[in-house]
Amino acid sequence: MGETADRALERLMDTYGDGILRLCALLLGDPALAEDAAQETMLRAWRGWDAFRGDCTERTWLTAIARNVCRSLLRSPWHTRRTDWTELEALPAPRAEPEDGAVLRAVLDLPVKYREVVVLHYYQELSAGEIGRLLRLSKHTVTTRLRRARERLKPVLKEWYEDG
Amino acid sequence: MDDLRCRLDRALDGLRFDFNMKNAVKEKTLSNGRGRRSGRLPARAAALAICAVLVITAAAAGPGIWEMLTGDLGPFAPYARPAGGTAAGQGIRVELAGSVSDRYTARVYFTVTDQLGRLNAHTALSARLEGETAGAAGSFGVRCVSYDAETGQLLMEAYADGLDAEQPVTLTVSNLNPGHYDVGSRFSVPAEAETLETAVTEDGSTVLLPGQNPQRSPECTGISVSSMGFDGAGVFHVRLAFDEGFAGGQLSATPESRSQPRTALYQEDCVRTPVEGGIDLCFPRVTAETLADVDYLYVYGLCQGPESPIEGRWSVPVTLEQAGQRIVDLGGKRVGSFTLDRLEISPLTLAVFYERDSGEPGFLYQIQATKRDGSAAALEGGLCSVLDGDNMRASYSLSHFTEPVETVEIASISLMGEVVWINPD
Repeated sequence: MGETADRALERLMDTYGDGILRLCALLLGDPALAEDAAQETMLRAWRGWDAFRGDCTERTWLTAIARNVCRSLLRSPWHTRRTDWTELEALPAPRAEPEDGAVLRAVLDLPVKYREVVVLHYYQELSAGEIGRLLRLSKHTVTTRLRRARERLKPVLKEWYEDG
Repeated sequence: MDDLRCRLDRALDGLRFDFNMKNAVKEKTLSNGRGRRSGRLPARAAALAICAVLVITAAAAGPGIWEMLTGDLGPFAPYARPAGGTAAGQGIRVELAGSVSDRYTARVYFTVTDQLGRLNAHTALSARLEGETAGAAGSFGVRCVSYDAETGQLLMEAYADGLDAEQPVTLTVSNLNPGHYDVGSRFSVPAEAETLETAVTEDGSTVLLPGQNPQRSPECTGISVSSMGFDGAGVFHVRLAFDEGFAGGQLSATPESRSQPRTALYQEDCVRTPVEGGIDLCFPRVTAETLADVDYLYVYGLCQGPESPIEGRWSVPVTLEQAGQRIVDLGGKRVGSFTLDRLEISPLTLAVFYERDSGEPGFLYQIQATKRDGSAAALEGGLCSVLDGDNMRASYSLSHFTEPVETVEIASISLMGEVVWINPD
């Protein structure tokens, strides 16, 4: 692979750090926990750098790691905090428009199994097949969940539906 | 689609993987070997451990496999059941030896042998009991019971908490790596602040030239200190050298403080520079003035030796014979903000099922059990989990008895300090 793990880590953090942090925030709904998860994701990537064979993109690889880290945190008995969306919504986001907060809220309000596929598909831009492999679900299950999630999001995403 | 992504990005614009987070990650890389799990939680207490990588350190030959596994089980040996099944390939043979199980836990013993004799005392491997979990979480791991240097045979235990033992279970072994070396050795530090010869690398880093005051540690295979001292600017460096065939990107070192031991006092701001045949580590916190406080240099982490990893996965279906269970209906009794559903008691474990009040976080822990004679049936931590990832209220807590119990002997349990009496069956 050529690039050392230490150098790769620097580059991965610079290139993908913000995106992975936001992905974790969307999966966890907790910005403080998301920071831990994003850091742990980068640490795992550093540890596993030699094993990364490039059979998917770096972004997809990091997404898979981040999803596993978040899943572990959500399942952990030590993760006793109830998700408080207001923490996430209260983040300073100078470019945000009022509707953006409603979209964020709607996504965060989705049950975990729908939120995961929505975030992975529409935010991380993974295909249904890639999501299926990542979540160990059939492509059919992924598309069904996406359809049901879209139905739940319909009221706040009118433009999305109008755009088709 | 783009609209949703843009809107979420804008809403989360305040979240940045900033300088402090990057630094925090870099610091962790200095204190964590690559390829090693973070180990934040004890394996048995972890809510979700994926699979453990194991380093074998035991070296014992002698009694037969059954005697060794029952010896390992101690008081739980009467619950051991022979297990059969093998998987072979690439010269490796994985063979089941025995198991102990109840409804939610399993301990599966198996041997690993190699026709080509590649296994050794520092082999690492991954193993996992694959199956359905009873709740949303499970805790899985593997450990070495013994390594027989004469036959090259490993006796291993794969274990799982939170497993649904009524569903099919498969043992999968992978990532066999006989070239896995876990380093942890001390080296002495020069008493005087000696200035050594240096060079400047292509990226402008100052590094020590090799071989200026070499040191070896008898317990450290494949790694040595090549040079240790100050550069011309008064900055302390250590240059580590790899023996032929070794590589150690996951290796690190820390100068240990006498006055503040194990605080990584001098590891802060450490800079790693790869050099030919090794690594140069620079420790700006060690100065001519603080050198006297440095007790020794501790070199640690993982390195890959000349032995090649063995590619492959070996999967064997496992038939588990569950120990008998006593189910006690708790009929909606209340403990704090929890509504109890039932207990499931086996000679090995105690599982409490309950539902948390809406909006109340947390699990039931601090569980104690008392026998009819008033003596305690000691329990140790196991697993707490929600039953379904989509319903964060229905949960269970699983604890291990430290010694087998007669299930009918359990007369009461204490949950978070509140005693719940169990009616005799």
